[in-house]
Amino acid sequence: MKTIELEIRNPTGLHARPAAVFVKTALGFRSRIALQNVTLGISPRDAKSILSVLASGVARGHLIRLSAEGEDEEAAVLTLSELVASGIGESVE
Amino acid sequence: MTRHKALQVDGIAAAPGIVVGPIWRYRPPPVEAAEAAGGTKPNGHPAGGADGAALRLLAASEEAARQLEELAARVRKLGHAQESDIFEAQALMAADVALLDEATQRIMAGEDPISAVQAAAEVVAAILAALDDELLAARAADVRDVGARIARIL
Repeated sequence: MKTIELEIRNPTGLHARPAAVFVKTALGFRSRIALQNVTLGISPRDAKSILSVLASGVARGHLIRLSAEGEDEEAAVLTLSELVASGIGESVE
Repeated sequence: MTRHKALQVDGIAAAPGIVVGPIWRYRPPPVEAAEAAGGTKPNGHPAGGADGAALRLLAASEEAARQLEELAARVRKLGHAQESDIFEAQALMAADVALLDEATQRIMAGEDPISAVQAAAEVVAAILAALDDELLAARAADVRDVGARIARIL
C-alpha cells in the first residue's frame, strides 16, 4: 500500500469541479484508492466516488491522506498528489 | 397601459444572460413507481426479480451518465464552462458507487428500482446538505436531480 499526506491549497478545496477532476483521475487507476480528511478526523472514503469525496468536506488548508492498494498504487498516489499540489486546475498562491 | 409589479427573484444563475418573457415553471413529471412497474405490488419484482431490477438500475445509471456527459459537452461548446462543470460532476454522480450501492441494497431488500434510486439519492443528498459548508450543501440538489433522472429512464 502507498500512502501520502498532503495539504489542500487550492481555493475551493475538493468541491464541485476540483472534486470531479480528482475522481476522474482516480477512476483511471485499477488500484483501490482511499481519501481521508485528516483535519476533520473522519474515516477514509472511496476516492473513486464523487459523492464520498464531496461528503469528506475537504476545504482549503485541510490535510488529506491518500492511500492506494493494487498493481498501479505507486502511479496512482504520485499522479493524484501531483494533481492536488498543482491546485487541480485552480491557482495556488 | 398595464401596470407591472416589480418582482425580484434571488438565486444562483445556472447560465448567465438576460431574458424577457413569460415565466414557465418546470415541474419534473412525478415518477410513479407502481405505474412504471406495470402495477405490481411495491414488494414484487416483475421479470427478472431483484437481480434483474438491479441490472436495470445499472443500465439506467449508465444512460443517465451518458446523457449528462453529452449535455456537459454541448454546454461547454457554447462557452459556458461553469455550467458544463456542474453537468460533468452530475455525470460522475449518476455512475457513483455510493449511490448505486445504496440503491442496490434497497432493491435486494424488495424495493422497486424507481423508488430505490430516488430514496438512495435522498440519503446521499441529506448527508451533503448536513455538511457545515454552503458550497457542498448546494450539491445536494444535484444528487436529487441525478436520482430523478435515473428514475425517469427506468
